Amino acid sequence: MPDARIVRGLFLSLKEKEFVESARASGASNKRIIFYHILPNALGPIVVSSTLNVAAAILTESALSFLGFGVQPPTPTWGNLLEDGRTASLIAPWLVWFRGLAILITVLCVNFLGDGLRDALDPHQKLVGKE
Amino acid sequence: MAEPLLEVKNLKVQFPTEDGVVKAVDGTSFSVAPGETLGVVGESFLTVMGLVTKREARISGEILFRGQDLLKLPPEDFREIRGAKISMIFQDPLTALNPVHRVGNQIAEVFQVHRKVSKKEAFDEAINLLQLVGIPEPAKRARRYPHEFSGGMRQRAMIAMALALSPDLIIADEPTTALDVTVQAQILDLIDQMKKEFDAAVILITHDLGVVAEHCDDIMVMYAGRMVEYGEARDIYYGAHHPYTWGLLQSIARMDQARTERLRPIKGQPPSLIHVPPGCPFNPRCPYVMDICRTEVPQLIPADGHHASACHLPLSEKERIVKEEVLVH
Repeated sequence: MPDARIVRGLFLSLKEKEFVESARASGASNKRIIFYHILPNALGPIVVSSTLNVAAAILTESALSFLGFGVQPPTPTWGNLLEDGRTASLIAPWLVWFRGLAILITVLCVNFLGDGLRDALDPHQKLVGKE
Repeated sequence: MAEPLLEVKNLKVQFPTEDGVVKAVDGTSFSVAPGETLGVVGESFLTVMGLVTKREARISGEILFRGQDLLKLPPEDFREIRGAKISMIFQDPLTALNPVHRVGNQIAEVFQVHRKVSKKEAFDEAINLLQLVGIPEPAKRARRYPHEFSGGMRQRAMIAMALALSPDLIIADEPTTALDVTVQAQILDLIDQMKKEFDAAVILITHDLGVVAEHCDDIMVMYAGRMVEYGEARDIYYGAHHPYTWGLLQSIARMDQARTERLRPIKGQPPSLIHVPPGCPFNPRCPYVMDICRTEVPQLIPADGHHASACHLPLSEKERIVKEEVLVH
């Protein structure tokens, strides 16, 4: 899991930060430092990377099913639908277009959701006075 | 003198690195009485708490706090002392405050860690503290994030956090370095005022002799991890006995100095803490260097009262140099 590596890397760099030392100097326990001080700081990148993973998974599924290596046909998936339409693409090209478009929109939405969450979690992005 | 609050005996701190062992503190002893302000000036000094958080450091000696050796204390007991009995003000409040939590919550945290109080009570206490350290509209400001504060306000918030449980000892690590000059004075006055109000002792670490002048009872000058001079603030300013202290004094810009006159820097570079020069660590940069300085480490020798310095120059010679060369400038 690349996520695990990202989290590890973030924690390794965040634990050297001065606010961690400051928390330790005011007597915070390790548990408190991990969950209250470090984790919220790492949340932005974690959210972005997991939404990217979701998007990538949808695309991978479509590509594999399109080639016939993915989910087997009776189960409807976007890759299977796309493959379905491919045989008729010369007579009814919209079968491929709209299904492809649906995949594109879904993947974009998941990405935007990740961006939105990251901004919402970061106090720097909040406008002053808007509480 | 009253029973010392903090007593450090022959403290040595070493960091093993790839290039060799860094001797950050090399055999230093001092003590702090309750309610006293000790200024620590000079290159390279690690604080009592800072060093203990660094696990890879090799520490020897004793750090007695109210007679209890902090270095031998189980981690859990030491954790209870940190923040409650000894607290710390950091150099740069922007990096020392957690960017994702509201300022009020961060101050409230100290109460939650050490006392069994509800979140609400802790937050109200935090607002009171912000008021005490002179932040206008504390109830509103407590809900702000650190980046919405100005530098001076952030340092006030740090001070509020350090004072939360009225500690016996506050360690201020260059508390004014990140601030501009007018705010510096305000913050130092605030530390002074809070120290009186809470009856706490303060260790003020700084590289700026001008800063400690008004605010310290005693001053300790460190060079290359060793104490080179110790004395009351007045002794250090008007009768310093160590060439390094003279260098520091002469490098301060003065209002009454002629414009054409240049500042006198201390020549050379601070020594590497891995390869400390043999003999007196200051000998390569010392204008009064003698042969003995290159071979023998000078011991800290008391001159009068508790004013002491580690330098091979004879006392009469030091007094002459102070009068004729250092103070006239």
